[in-house]
Amino acid sequence: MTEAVGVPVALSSTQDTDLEFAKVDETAVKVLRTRFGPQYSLVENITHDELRKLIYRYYSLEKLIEYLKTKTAEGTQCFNRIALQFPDELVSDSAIVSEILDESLPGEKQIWILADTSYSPCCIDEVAAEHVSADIVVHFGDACLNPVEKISSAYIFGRPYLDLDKAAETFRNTHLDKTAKVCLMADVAYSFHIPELYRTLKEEYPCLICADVDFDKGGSDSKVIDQYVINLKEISLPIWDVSRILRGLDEEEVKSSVDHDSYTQVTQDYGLFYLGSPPDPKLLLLSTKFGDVTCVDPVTLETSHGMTPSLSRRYRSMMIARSASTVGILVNTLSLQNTRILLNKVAKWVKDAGKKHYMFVVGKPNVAKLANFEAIDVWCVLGCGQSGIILDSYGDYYKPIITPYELELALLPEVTWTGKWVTDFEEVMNQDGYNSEKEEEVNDKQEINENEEKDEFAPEFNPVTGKLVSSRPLRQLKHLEIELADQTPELLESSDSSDLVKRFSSALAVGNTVSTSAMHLQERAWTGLGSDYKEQEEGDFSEEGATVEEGRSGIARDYDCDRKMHNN
Amino acid sequence: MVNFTVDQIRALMDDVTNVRNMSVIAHVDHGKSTLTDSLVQRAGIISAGKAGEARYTDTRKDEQERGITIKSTAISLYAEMTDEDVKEIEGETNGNKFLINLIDSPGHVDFSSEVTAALRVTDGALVVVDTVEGVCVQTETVLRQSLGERIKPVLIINKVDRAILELQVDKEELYQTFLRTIESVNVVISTYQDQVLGDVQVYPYKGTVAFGSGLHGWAFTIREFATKYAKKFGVDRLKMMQRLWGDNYFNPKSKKWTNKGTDHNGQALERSFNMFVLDPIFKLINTIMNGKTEVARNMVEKLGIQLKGDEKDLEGKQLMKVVMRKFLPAADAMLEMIIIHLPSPVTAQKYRAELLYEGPKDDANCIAIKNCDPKADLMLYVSKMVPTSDKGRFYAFGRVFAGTVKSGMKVRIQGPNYVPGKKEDLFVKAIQRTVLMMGRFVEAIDDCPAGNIVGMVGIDQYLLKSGTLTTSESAYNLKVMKFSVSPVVEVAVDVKNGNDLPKLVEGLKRLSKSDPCVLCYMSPSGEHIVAATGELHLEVCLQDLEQDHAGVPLKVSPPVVSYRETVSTESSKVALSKSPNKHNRIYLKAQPMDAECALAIEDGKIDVRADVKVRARIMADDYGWDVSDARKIWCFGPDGQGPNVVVDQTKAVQYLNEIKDHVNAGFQWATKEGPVIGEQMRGIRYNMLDVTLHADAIHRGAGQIMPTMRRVTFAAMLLAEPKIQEPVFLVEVQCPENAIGGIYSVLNKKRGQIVSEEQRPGTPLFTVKAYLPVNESFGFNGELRQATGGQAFPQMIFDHWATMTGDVTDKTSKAGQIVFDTRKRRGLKEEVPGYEEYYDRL
Ligand SMILES: Nc1nc2c(ncn2[C@@H]2O[C@H](COP(=O)(O)OP(=O)(O)OP(=O)(O)O)[C@@H](O)[C@H]2O)c(=O)[nH]1
Ligand SMILES: [Mg+2]
Repeated sequence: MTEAVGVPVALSSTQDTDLEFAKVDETAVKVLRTRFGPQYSLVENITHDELRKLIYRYYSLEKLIEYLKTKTAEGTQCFNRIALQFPDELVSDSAIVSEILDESLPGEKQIWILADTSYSPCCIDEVAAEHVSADIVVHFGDACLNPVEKISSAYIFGRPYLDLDKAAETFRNTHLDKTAKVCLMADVAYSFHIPELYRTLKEEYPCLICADVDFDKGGSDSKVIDQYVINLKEISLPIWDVSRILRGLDEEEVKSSVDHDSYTQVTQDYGLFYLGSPPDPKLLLLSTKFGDVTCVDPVTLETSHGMTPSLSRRYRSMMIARSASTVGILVNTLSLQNTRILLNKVAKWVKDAGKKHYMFVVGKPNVAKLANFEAIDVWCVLGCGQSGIILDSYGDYYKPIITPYELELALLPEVTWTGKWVTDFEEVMNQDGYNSEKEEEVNDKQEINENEEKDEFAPEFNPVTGKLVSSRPLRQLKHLEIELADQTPELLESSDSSDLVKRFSSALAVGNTVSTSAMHLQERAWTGLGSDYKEQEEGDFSEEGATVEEGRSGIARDYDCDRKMHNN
Repeated sequence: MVNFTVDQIRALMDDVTNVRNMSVIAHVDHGKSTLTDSLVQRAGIISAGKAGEARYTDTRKDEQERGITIKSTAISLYAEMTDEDVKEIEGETNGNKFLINLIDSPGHVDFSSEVTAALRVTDGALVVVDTVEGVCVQTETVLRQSLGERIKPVLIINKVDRAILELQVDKEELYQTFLRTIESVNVVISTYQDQVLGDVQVYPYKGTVAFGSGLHGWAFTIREFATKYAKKFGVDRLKMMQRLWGDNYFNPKSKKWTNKGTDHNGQALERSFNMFVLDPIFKLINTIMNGKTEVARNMVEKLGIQLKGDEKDLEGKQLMKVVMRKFLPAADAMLEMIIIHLPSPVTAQKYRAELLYEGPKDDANCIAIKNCDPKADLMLYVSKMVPTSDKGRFYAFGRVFAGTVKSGMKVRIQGPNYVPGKKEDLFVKAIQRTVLMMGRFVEAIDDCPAGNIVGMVGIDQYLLKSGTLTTSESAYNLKVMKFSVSPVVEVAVDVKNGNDLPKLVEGLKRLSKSDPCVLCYMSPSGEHIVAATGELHLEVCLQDLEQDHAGVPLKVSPPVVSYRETVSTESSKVALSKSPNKHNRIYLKAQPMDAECALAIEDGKIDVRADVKVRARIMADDYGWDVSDARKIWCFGPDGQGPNVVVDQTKAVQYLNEIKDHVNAGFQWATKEGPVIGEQMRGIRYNMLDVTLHADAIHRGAGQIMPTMRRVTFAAMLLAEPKIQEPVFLVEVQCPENAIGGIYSVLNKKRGQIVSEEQRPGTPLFTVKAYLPVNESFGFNGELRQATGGQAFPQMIFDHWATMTGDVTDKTSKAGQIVFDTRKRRGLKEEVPGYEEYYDRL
């Protein structure tokens, strides 16, 4: 087969596509077992019964069942239709869990397993649950606890094993200075170990603080099953955009933060010792809030040397957004509270700035999907701050992807960079309140400028490329309309056979607004069937046409030729 | 100085046959600004009280402090010629009043782009060469550039006083020095000469060479002396000019001319040049300098030089200067050369039009330029932006090639990327005012006809650095200038205080505008980068940025070099990448492009914007390409014009044309940020061998093809032994013999490579030329000074990109080290990715 690589010419017509469907990886299953404790990671085979017991304990199913049995005031069952949501890596447990629930819940109930969440796995997948008209979604595994729009929910984090002694040891090794200001934090699943770890270390490290899960973050419709007990006596400070509550701070510090309406002043002084591997967006958030971040793998208890996503790359993306003409608003969540409000806001910002926007929902975004829309200069993604935001650290995406907060900064008349990383929808919108006043002022100023004359079409300097660009296509609408009016009679007169094509392709205004995408299409060399034909006539390409072959049939996912391949 | 009203100057502009646009060009410190001063003092048109101040055209504070020119400066001169002189002018002429627009350019190599911008708007060049130093690197560079733009040169050999007074050479030695210098200049000219210009070598006996001292304010041409002697010998002046140069001797006894150096008795004869030209000068200078004031006074009287009141009491050097200045005024010699031998716009535009215009040679605009027609549609080239006193605003400075530009006129402003018929880079705006630019003063004028140089107010926001202004809708651009230097030295800048960020960004914009060559962009990792041609250029730019354009305190990183990514062999196997949906495949191979070809694409010799067939012809004839391959070039990258290409070598692939745009987009993306260190690729030819496409258009859309093209480009490159290229300076050092050892040891330490070492005949000076990687050039000046006791002065100019031999993945090699450091700085994964990362198995 390696030989064949060298002679590709013959391959023009063959299509031996190899389709593979995803399977659960054997090794992944083994890794999964370590969460039950070290003794299980080495065992080759666990019997089904044993596994059932382990899972029952791990997910605190007893408490879940109790919760699901809740009755309404009238005495009927609250939850008859139950959806279980698992992230990809835990789907293998789903069958057992549903089996157990099925057996232990009374009455007529229906249980669904939602696999393959469309957006971020840390959020409740409201849309999928609505498909089965579920009464409640039970979310398993790591969660962001961000409130959702409508549906009731219950969270189960799981109770993974942690070698506390070893964890404390790792902490001591990474923090030699006993007076260091450090904060302990963990993925939600590991968080129930935090109080214990905190007690162990606090004596040696007087300046240690820790972060508990903010169980109320999910809102009144949502319940975290099996909450661990928190010592309520200590002074606490909520850091709500990470769904945590800080404990162990002294009074002074808490006060100072309240004054400034932000906890960052306090946390900046602290280093972070994090158990788990936060997704990139969350890691970036943490790194802007804390002095420095050490991530520790909860299983091996080794510090990981993954790179923190860099904020200065974000700055560059923001700058690109400043000089972008077309913004693609990518909706990467359908369930988060305030999504629609924010979406409308973002669209309005873009419009007010004289730029063009298009809205997209593409399911799980990936490089190929986004690259289909060439006219987009920059993407603005609306998604969960924990994992619903794409941080393109290695430049794999064709165009940069920014957050609404960054877009808002980019649209300010003056270059602004706060160095903050704000992903919480509510916070973004609060920022907006403050800014819109400012914007009005600026608008006034602009009017004065415009009265002075000109400048409306003047290009701006793009500090990213060092060139001039015009980035406000909507402002040019009037200008274009005049031109279009001039062109139309001409077009009507001409009776060329390619008239239709021409008229369509020269139209830049579609439905009373500028279409930057039409502009983009006009730039293309390929203008439709037959356009290459012309070129061939002009040039001296006298190659014979190809012989007609029968194409394939079927649908894209399942061509008959593919099927043949798989049957073999 | 001449006092004129604006109206009078404006009237002169209409007589285009009597206008001369010229630049003064030379190596650094050879005396351009000083000579320009002589001209300004004599013929400068301004009413100002600034007269007499040293180096009139060095208007910036730092230029005065550093004593070098940084920006080119334009001034206007006025001269009247005698009828007899006017007769000798070749082109058409009207009367004997002349307007000269002169641009004094910087000589330091780092500012070469200023010279390019000056040359574009002028038709002639006054080349200055130092008698002692002779022809240097930058002399050659600027000459080459001027000939490339079809600009006619005349030569002045300056600082003759040094030869006479400091080096104490005798007449024959001086003659030989002159001869050698003229020969070296002519060697350069004949190397780069354009056929269309005819013979533009310089010859003293034709009056295209002058000799003099800018500092002392005197200069002469053979023609001046020939005029004096023609009557005495009763021969025609032209004949006399022939006799006063070369192997021509006069036998005083027989009163006969001969071309043998001895008389019939074998007695040596004195060369006529030495006897009739140099002798009076030597005598005058030596008598005065030897303190024989009385004798000198007699001579002065005999020569008919009038000394005024207190001038009579002067002695020594002071007296010598006054006398020489009156005897042979430098301005006269230069004006004579400029007016008689440099072409008027009418003459020059006839042969420059086709080079200047991007469009067809026979279209109305090109013809208007050829005819220098003031009534045609406007064709104006803006060559640079000059800061106004109003911060952040600029005058657009340029030359009217056709039509007449008026205040309030509505024009089409076409930026460098404008393509006729498209809207990109096009603005229609009114010019607020047109102005005359004279040194540090500007005067408003109503309009300015074809052939003249002009400044414009109110269009600066629409152009970054340069562009074309026209009133014709069908006009193509005037050709974009190509610079001989590259911005290869970069620093990252940041504000010290976060609140100043908007000022920094605004400052970067202003800096970009104010300098033809500086590049301000952002690195992939999000730093603001300022890239300049050399350390001095960078220093000047940063100083301007901090103190003027941005006006806020800045943090500046240590300088780094920009690199390129290339390949050293053909891909070891065909690279294959599949689209994300696995339904499409691209098969690609990379191979190194011929170095000359890559260079030609960068220089514009292979014009990316030209018609495919024309371009293919040139590539086949001059760069050894197969014509049909050259025709099948799909795209150049990065930025649609870089020195990397995709050649379509597929056979009968269905739907191929439909994916051309996506392939192009993916290729631009890939070549802009390569896989090795995220730098631009350079000099790679990609052969697209085959493509398999899905039959449904929806499955071969941009999203499938574009990322795949990028991946396969990376894979093909990584399979072809990727290398990095570093920029290399050509260093020229002049020094006495005893300093050579020191130079060699410093060069050795810095990976330098000696090119040549020559003694300048007739002087104790040696010229050492060497290649020095730009990366090693930081601090080179200082080390050299130390190693040679301050006797060696280097000039460094960007010369070429050199491929570094080391394996990019081997950290112990120099190249590997650079790759490692760069990846780290840019926040990339530490290891260079293997081709497997982008390669898909069948
Ligand atoms: N002895 C002597 N010195 C001269 C002569 N002409 C210029 N100089 C000196 O040479 C130095 C450089 O002169 P400039 O006129 O600034 O040279 P330039 O060519 O304009 O230099 P750049 O613009 O920096 O390239 C000054 O110190 C002058 O005084 C000359 O004819 N004789
Ligand atoms: Mg100068």
